[in-house]
Amino acid sequence: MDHVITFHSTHHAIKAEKRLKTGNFKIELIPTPREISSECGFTILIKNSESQSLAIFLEEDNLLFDQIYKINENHGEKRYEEID
Amino acid sequence: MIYLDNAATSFPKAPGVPEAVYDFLKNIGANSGRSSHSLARKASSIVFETREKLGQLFNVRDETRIIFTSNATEALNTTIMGLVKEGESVITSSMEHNSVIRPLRVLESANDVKLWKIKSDKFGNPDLKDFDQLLKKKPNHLIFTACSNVTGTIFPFEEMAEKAKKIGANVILDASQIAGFIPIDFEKSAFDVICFPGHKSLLGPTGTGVFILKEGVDFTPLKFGGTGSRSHLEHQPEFLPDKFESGTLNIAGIAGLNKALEFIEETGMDNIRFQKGNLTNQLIYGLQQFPDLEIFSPIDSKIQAGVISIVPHNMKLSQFTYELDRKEIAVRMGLQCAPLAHQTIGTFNYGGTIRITPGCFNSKEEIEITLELIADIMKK
Repeated sequence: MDHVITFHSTHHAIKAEKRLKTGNFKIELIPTPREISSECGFTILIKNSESQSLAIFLEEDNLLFDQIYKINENHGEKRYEEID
Repeated sequence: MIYLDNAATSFPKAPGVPEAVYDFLKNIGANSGRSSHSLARKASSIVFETREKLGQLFNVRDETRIIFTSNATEALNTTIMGLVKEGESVITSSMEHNSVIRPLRVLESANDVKLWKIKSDKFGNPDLKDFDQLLKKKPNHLIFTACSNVTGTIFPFEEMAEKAKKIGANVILDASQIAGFIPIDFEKSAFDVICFPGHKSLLGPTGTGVFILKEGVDFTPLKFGGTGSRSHLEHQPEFLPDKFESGTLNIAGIAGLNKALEFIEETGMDNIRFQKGNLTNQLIYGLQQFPDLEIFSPIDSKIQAGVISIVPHNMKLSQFTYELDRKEIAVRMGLQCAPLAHQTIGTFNYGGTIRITPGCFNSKEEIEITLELIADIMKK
């Protein structure tokens, strides 16, 4: 499953990018998808990830983020589901 | 050219600083915190890394509380104008630079702010008994310099901040002359805000400044605008650093500062202070040999940051400076943007002093040559 994480500020996005890389997540910085609202221009896409382990990693590392979304793909259409 | 005007801005800059500025302008050039393309990401990374390095150097737990400005003056103005409210009272020193005293004077006349100045001796040392007396008046703020830009006098700024904090005052420190020269542990300190430039002892480019906020310290910014965040809203974001960083940053300058911070970390502030201290002692010793030259700076290196103010009594300041200029020695004559300090040490009526400020990249030989040239000038 792919996920995206949104952030309040670029500073937090870059910080999370660096930390997630050390956690062996497959990540990419992408422009924030139009379907979801975001505070800053950057969003992190995490490929083949599991919602729970991602949330645990972010929490343990004290990384400030805005929202995690799970990407559900249906007939080529992406839907972003908020994760609590 | 022998450059001895480091209190105005350091020169040369740390190794690699000009190249880092050039590299940014030539190969990256994009804006930070806004777009998501690779050049914009590189620009954002530079800003991010520089903030992290500052956080390490000054021991700041949360780097988002480190705000970039264009200089220390902007940092001080933002903080002073934001933090001091109508009718409140402020203790300041008698050695302040105009970047502190001018905003305070504005608040005094426009917002009925009360201003109390700590007395100083003729070498710029604050009178700590007078300071204790003033604290009894329960001021709302202590806003003061860590070190005079005229005499190089280093204040016992940490103890003073602790005392002020004990009576509940906010403490704003102007660390312009010491940031990069004397270590500050921000988290352990009693400062609510510290302000400093990136281009003096931090050895970075001009056009860079910083203020750092303690957790819980908050006020209204001086400027509002585009931050690259919350762009769907017409209201300024409340989170840091965006709240205080409207408009495009001086990323080229920050790239240079990033490199400079790397140099300071590798070299160590203690080594920088030792090197500059030796040059300052050599300079002071040499200047003491001229009976017609008066030194207005403390000569004890424990309370001296390498800023030596002198007045020749056998010729005009302008004549003396002209002779030095002709011989390619760069010093600064006049009031150094600190009329209050000159009034305090008694040099205002001379039109100020000649200020000689070595940097960590000067050599013993350069100080020797300078002293020889001064000897020539004094003979005339």
